Amino acid sequence: MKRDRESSAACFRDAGFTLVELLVASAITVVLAGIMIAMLAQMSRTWVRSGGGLAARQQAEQALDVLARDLESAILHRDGRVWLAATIQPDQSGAGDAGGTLGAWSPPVRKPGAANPGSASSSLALEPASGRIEDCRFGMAGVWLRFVANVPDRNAQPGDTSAPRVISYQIVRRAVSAAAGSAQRYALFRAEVRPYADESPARERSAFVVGFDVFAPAYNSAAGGGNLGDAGTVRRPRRDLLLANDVIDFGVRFFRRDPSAPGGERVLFPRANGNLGFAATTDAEARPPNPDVAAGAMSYGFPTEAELLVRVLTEEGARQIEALEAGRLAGRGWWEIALAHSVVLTRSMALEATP
Amino acid sequence: MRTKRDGFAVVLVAALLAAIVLLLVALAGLARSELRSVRQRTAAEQARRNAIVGMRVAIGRLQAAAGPDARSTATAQHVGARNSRWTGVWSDAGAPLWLVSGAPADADVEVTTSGPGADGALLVGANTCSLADGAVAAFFEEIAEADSPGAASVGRYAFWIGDEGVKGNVGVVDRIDSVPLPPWAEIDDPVATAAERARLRQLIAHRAGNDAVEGFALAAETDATARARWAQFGAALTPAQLRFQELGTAQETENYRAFLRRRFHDFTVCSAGVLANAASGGLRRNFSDLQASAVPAAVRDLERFRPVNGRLPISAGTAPAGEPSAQVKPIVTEWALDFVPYHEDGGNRLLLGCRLRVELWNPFNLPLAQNASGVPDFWVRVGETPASGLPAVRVRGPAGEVGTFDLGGVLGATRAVPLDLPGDVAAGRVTRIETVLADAWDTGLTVDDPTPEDASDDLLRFEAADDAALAITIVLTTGEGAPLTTLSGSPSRGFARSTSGGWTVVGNAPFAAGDGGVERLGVSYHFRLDPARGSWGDWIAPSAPLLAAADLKAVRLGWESELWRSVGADPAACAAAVRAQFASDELFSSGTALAPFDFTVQRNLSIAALGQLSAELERALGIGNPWGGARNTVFDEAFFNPVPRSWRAGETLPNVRHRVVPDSAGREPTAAELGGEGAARFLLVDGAFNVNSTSAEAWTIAFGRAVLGWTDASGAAADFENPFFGLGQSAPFAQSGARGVRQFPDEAIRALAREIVQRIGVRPRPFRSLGEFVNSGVLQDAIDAAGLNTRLEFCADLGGVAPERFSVNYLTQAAVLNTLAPLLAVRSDTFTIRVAAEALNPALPTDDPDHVAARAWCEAVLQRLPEYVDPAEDAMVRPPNAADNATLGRRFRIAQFRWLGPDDI
Repeated sequence: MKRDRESSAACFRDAGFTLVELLVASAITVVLAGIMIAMLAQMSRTWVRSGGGLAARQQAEQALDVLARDLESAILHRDGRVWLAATIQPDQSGAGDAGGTLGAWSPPVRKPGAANPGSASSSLALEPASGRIEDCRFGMAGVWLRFVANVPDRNAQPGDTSAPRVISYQIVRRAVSAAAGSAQRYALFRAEVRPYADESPARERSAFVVGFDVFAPAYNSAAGGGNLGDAGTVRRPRRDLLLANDVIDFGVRFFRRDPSAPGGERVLFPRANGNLGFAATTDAEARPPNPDVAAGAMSYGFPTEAELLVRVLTEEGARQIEALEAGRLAGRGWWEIALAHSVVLTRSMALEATP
Repeated sequence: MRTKRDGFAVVLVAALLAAIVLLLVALAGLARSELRSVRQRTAAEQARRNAIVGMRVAIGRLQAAAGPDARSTATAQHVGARNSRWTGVWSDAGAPLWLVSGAPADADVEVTTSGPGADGALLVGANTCSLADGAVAAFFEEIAEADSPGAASVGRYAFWIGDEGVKGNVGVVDRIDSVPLPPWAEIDDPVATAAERARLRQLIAHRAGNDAVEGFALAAETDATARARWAQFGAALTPAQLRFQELGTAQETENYRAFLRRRFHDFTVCSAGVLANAASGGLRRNFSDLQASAVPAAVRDLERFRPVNGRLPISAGTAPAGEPSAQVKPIVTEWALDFVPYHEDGGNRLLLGCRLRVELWNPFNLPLAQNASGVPDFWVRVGETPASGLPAVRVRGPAGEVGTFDLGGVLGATRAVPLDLPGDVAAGRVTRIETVLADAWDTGLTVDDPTPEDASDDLLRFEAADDAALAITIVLTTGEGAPLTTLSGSPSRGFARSTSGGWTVVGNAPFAAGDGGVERLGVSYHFRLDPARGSWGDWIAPSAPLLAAADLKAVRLGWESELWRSVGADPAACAAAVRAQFASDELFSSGTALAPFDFTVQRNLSIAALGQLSAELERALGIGNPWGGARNTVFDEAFFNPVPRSWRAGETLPNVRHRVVPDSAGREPTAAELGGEGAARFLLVDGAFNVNSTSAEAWTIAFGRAVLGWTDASGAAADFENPFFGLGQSAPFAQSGARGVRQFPDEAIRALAREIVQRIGVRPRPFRSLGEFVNSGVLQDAIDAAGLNTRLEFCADLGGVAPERFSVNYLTQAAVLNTLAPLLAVRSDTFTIRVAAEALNPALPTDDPDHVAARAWCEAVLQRLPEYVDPAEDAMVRPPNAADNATLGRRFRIAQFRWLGPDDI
C-alpha cells in the first residue's frame, strides 16, 4: 500500500507543471493569440474588402452583360416615333413603388445634385478632362434609359413571346425594408413591358397595344407602374425587377459613326451644351416633348455605338453612404466615400441595328 | 494515465485533421463549382461571339452575292432541291450561289444536324415552322484559334440567309388617308379633294391582301372591328407579332396561331426593295420628273394631258415619229374620198361630185372634246401639206379627146375640209362624218352620152400615168392645223357613178392604171381596218390609227351600216355585242362601245400605265402585255414617284408603297429630289415582291386587296372585293358597265396564285428581269388557266356572263400590272440571317457530350439600300466593272438584330 502511495505521488509529481512553466506558457499563448487575432482581423478586413469589391464587380459585370445584350437587340426605325431615349435625371420624382417616396433625391442631404455641373461635389460631369466615361458622373439619379428591343423568350404565351418590347433601365433609391425609417439604398432596375397579353386589361398595357414609342404617355406616367409587365413599369419598376444592388451611377454615351468627325465618330449624347435628354427619332417638329426634360434640352440622332457605365458601391461603401445620408457620419463628402468604396465598370459596344 | 492522455491526443489530432480535410474538400467543391460556373459563362459568351463571327461572315457573303444590282434571287424550289428553302442568287454567269454556310455547290444535299457525325445545325425547326418541309439546316464552318494545338476547332457556326422578298408582306396597311392634300397641286385641273386622294387606291396595290388568304379567314373587311384588327398588322415589327391578333373564339385564335406557325416561309412584315434595274444595273428613273432628259416625250405627254371639264382635249402628242406616243385623238377607222364624174342633166358638160367620209372612233373612256366655241375640231387636209395636191389623171372622152384632170382643183387651195361633229365623240363610240365637197364641179369637158351603163361603156375613162401618181395622203388635224393622223392610200379598187337618185355603188373591180389599162368611170379612195389582219383589237391604238398598206382593206362603198350603239351598263349586252362585233366582217356595224384606252386624271403611279402608249407599226397595248417585247424593259428602267408641291418631309408619298430613306450621312432628301429623275436614290418600296416567289400565299397577298368606299365621279360609293382596274384612271368617270373594274371572290385570287406558282415553279431558273417576266406571259396564262374570264362563278360581278376579249371587262395581264407593277421585282433586297453557333471544348473528343460547351443563336434582318458600298459613286449609274461597287454593289444595313433562345428555333 505504501509502495503504491509512493508510486502515485511520484507520478503526480512527474505530470505537474511548475508555476514558471505555466507563466511562460501563458505568456507565449497570449502573444501568439494576439498575433493571430491581429492577423485574422487584418485578413478579415482584406477579405471583406476584396470580397465586397469582387461582388460589386460581379454585379456590375452581370448588369452590363444584360444591358449590352438588350441594346444589341434594340430596334430603331426612322418613322417619327421615339425608339430609344435616355434622360439624365435631376431627380427621380415619381419613381414610386421601388423608388420610395417622392422627393427622396432632394439635395443636399443625399447624393449631391446636378445643379453645379463640373464642381467637385456635383453628380453631373458629362465631359471630364480625360474624356473617358469612367470619369463621368450622370447626375443625381443616373440615366433613365429605355428602348425597344426584341429579346428571346419562352414562346409559350403571347406575354412571353420572343417579340419586341419596351425595356427600361434606371437607378432607384429605395428603402431596404417596408419598416418606417428603413435604410435607403441605391439599386439598378431593369423593367420590361410584356409584348402582348390575351386578357384585358393586361393587353391594353402591353407594348404591342401601347405602341413602340417610348415617349408614349403610358410609358412615362407613374400611374400604372409597379405591375409586372405593364407599360407603367418603364417609369415605376416593380420591386423584384432589381438588376444590381448598390449602383450609385448608371450612364450611357451614344455615338454615331461619322467619317467627317474627329476620330470617326461624333457624340450624340450627352452633349456639351448640357442637354439632359436624348431621343432616337426623326422629324424634329412632330416629335412629342420628353416629359422629363425642359423644352430645348434634347439631343437627337440615331446612335451606332454606345459606352456604358455602372458604378457599384462595395458593402462597406454602401454602409458609409447610408450612414452619411442618415446624418450619422460627418466629415467626409458623399463622392469621397463613393470614390473610395466603389468599382466602375464600363463597356463599349456597337448597336447592331441601324434605322 | 499516460495511455489515456496519449489516446486523447490521437483523437484530437484526428479530429483536427478531419476538420482540415473537410475544409479542404469544401473549398475544393466550392472552387470547382465556381470554376464550372465561370466556364459555363465563358463558354456561353464564347458561343455568342462565335455567333457574331458567323453573322459577320454571312453578311459579307450576302454583300458579295446580292449586293450588285444585276442579280435575281429565289428559293431552291426552282431546282427541286432537298433544301428547298435555301436562297439562291442568280447572275448571268451560270449556276446559282446558295446563301448558306459551307458554300455548297448544290442545294440537293443532305445536312446532318444531330448525333456525333453532325455536320450542320438546324436553323429553322418546329418552333419556327411547323411544316414538315419547313425545316432549314446548313453546314458548319469551323473556327480555329491560331495558337491552339493543331489548330483544333474551338467553335463553329452555321448560317442560313432567308429571302424575305419572296414572302407576302402582310404588314403593308392602307396609308392613303395620310397622303397630304392637295396631292396634285401642279395640275391645272385638279380634283384636289379627298375623293381624288381616295382614288389613289385604284392606281396601286395600296395594301396587302391578307384577307384573301385562306388561313386569315376572318370577318370581311367591311366589318369595322375586323378592319381595326387588320390595321394592327401595320404595327407588327416582326412576324412573331402576327400571332397577337385575336380572332373570334379562343379556338379560332388558336387555329390562327397554328396557321401562322405553318406559314413562316410565306409571310413577312419587313420586306422592302431598292428601285434598281436588275437587268442591267443602276437605279430606275423616275418618270414623274417631266423635265428629266431620260423621260420620253410620250410619257411627258401622258403626264400632261388631263381632261378639262370632264372632256379630253385633243392632242397629237410630241413624240417623234416611230416612237411610242401618248395622243388623245379619235382613231380613224374608215375613210373615203370619192370623185365621181357625171353628166350634166340636160346638157353635155362633164361634172364632178366629190365627197369625204370619215369614221372616227373614240377609244377613251371619256368624251373627246367638242370645241365649245363652235370652231370645228377636226379638219381633213388632203395632201401632207397645203401645197401638195391630189393626183392628176388623164380624162379621155368618147371622141378620143384627152385632158388632164386635177382632182385637187375640187378642194381649193387649202385642201382643208372641216368635219362638223354633231357633238362630243362619246366614250368608246364611233361617229361618222360625211361632207360633200363638191356637188357639181365643172370639169370644163363635154361628153355626149350622159348615161354610161357599165364598165365597158366607152363614155369616159380615167387614166393614171402610173400607180404612184394615184396615191394621196389625207391628214386629220385639229382646228389649229396640228396633224393628228396621216393616212395614205391608192384607189386600187372601186369605182362609182352617179345616178339621178344619188350616190350609188356599182362595182368593186380593180382600178388598173397605165395607158394600156382598163379605165374606170370614177375614182374612189375608201379604206378601213382589215379584220383579216388579225384581231384588230390588238392593233389599233391612238398613235397608230391605221397601219401599213397591208393593214388596210379597200371595201365596198357601203356606209349604210348603223353607228355604234352604247350598251350602257349592261355587261351581258356588252359581251354579246362585242362577240357579234368580231364575228362580223363589218367592224363597226354592231352596237358596242369599246374603250380600251385609259386617260390620265391623276399622276400615274404604275409603269403599267404606259400600256396605252404605242408606236406606229406596233401592236397596241403592248406595255404590260406579253407582246410588248423590248418595250417591256421599261418595267426595269423606270417607275413613277410623283411628289405634290405641298409635300413636306415625313409625309406619306402619293405612291404609298414608297418609303423615304436618307443617305448614310443621315441626310433626308428634299421634295424636289424625291420628285426628280434620281428619286430612287432615296426610296425603298415597302412590301416589294419578288416575282420568282413560289409561295401561293405570298402571291395571294400580292393579288388580293379590298377597296372600300370607292366613289365614282358622281359621288356614288362602292366597295370592291379584290378588284383589278383595267382602266385605273378613268374608271370613276365611265359608265358602270364600261369601267373595266373586275372584282373577284377570294377563291378566284387563290386560284390565280396557285396557277402562277405552278408556272413559276417549273422554270429552271428565275426571271432575270421584269421585262422577261412580262413578256413570258405567265401572268396572262395564269389568268386564263384560273378561269378569271371564263368561269362563271368568277364572273359574278358581270352578272354571271363571261366578258368578251377586248372588252374593258376582260381581265388582262396589263390590268393586273396596273396596280401591281410598283411593287414587283425579280430579286429581293431584304434578307433574314439566322446563325447557330457552338463553343467547343477541343480537349474532349467530338463524341463526348461535353464537347459542345455552349450554343447560341442570333438573327438579323438585312436591308439593301440604294447607296453603294462606296457612297461617293453616283447611285443611279452602274459602276465600272473594276470598281469595288461593281463587286459589292449596294450597301446592306442591319435593320433588326436579336438573340434567339432554343424555343425560337
